[in-house]
Amino acid sequence: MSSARKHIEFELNLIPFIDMLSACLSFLLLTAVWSYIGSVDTHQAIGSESTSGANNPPSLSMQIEKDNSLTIDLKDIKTQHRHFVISSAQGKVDWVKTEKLVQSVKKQFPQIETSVVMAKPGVSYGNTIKAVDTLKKNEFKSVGISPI
Amino acid sequence: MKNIITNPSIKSPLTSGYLFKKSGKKRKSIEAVITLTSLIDAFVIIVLYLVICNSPTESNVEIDDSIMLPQAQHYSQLDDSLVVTYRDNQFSIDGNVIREENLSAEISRLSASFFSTLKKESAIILQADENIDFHKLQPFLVASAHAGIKSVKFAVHQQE
Repeated sequence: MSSARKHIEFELNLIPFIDMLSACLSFLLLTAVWSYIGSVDTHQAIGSESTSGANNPPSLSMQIEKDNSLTIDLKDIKTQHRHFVISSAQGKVDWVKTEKLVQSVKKQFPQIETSVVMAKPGVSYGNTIKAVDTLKKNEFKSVGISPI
Repeated sequence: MKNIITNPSIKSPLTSGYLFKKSGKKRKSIEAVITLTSLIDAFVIIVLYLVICNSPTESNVEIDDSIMLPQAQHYSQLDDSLVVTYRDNQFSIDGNVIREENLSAEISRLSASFFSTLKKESAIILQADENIDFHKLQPFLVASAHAGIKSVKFAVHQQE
């Protein structure tokens, strides 16, 4: 009985299976670094949803000029310094200074959660999105884009 | 051809692959067996993890490769929405060019049919080149507001 059982024993060859898994693993690890596409989300008030009559919450408005200089204004908040100007660096928006300023504003006034980006004619779409991204990164929950 | 079932004297290549025998007197006592089962288990888990993590979107949104999208660090995943493309100074939806004056009506019509099937909050995705003037996109923002779209999403690449 035992000798008969021994005769029908066989082993599954696992080597091709391991080869296949290794190939899959290498492929997935290499493609993991490919860039992803996502979306920057904004919400817009429609019709009667506007805040007319309501108290305006403290807000930050960021205006990008055609020469890539940037103006930041704080609204509905008690402070002496409400107006900041960041000059362009070599013709481009100085995102390093902008980021630092936005960080310091958020640190000083954490109650500001609303912000609006305004782009003058001639400002690129990329810079407008970068401004929205900078504000979202610094935990401004409600970021809008306003046409000028 | 020899058959392993009828001829048990044939040694399995796998078994011989497992065993590393050192020649000498105490050969039998130092046999080492590598268990491949746990290795395969680990491989399968890593592969499944990578497959799940590497699926960048849940959606079937088609992104035009010829458009250089802006980059952003703080972004959310794309989901199924109506996609408006701006290229060559023209807006288009699903490859059909739409005139600016008809944009609001078209967005309204298409989003009504699109979101009634998905039963989701209406949203719209814009894909446009990062170097264009933002003011050229304002008809889209105005049209989507007129069409009652609450959520406007701008397609972006992950910033490196």
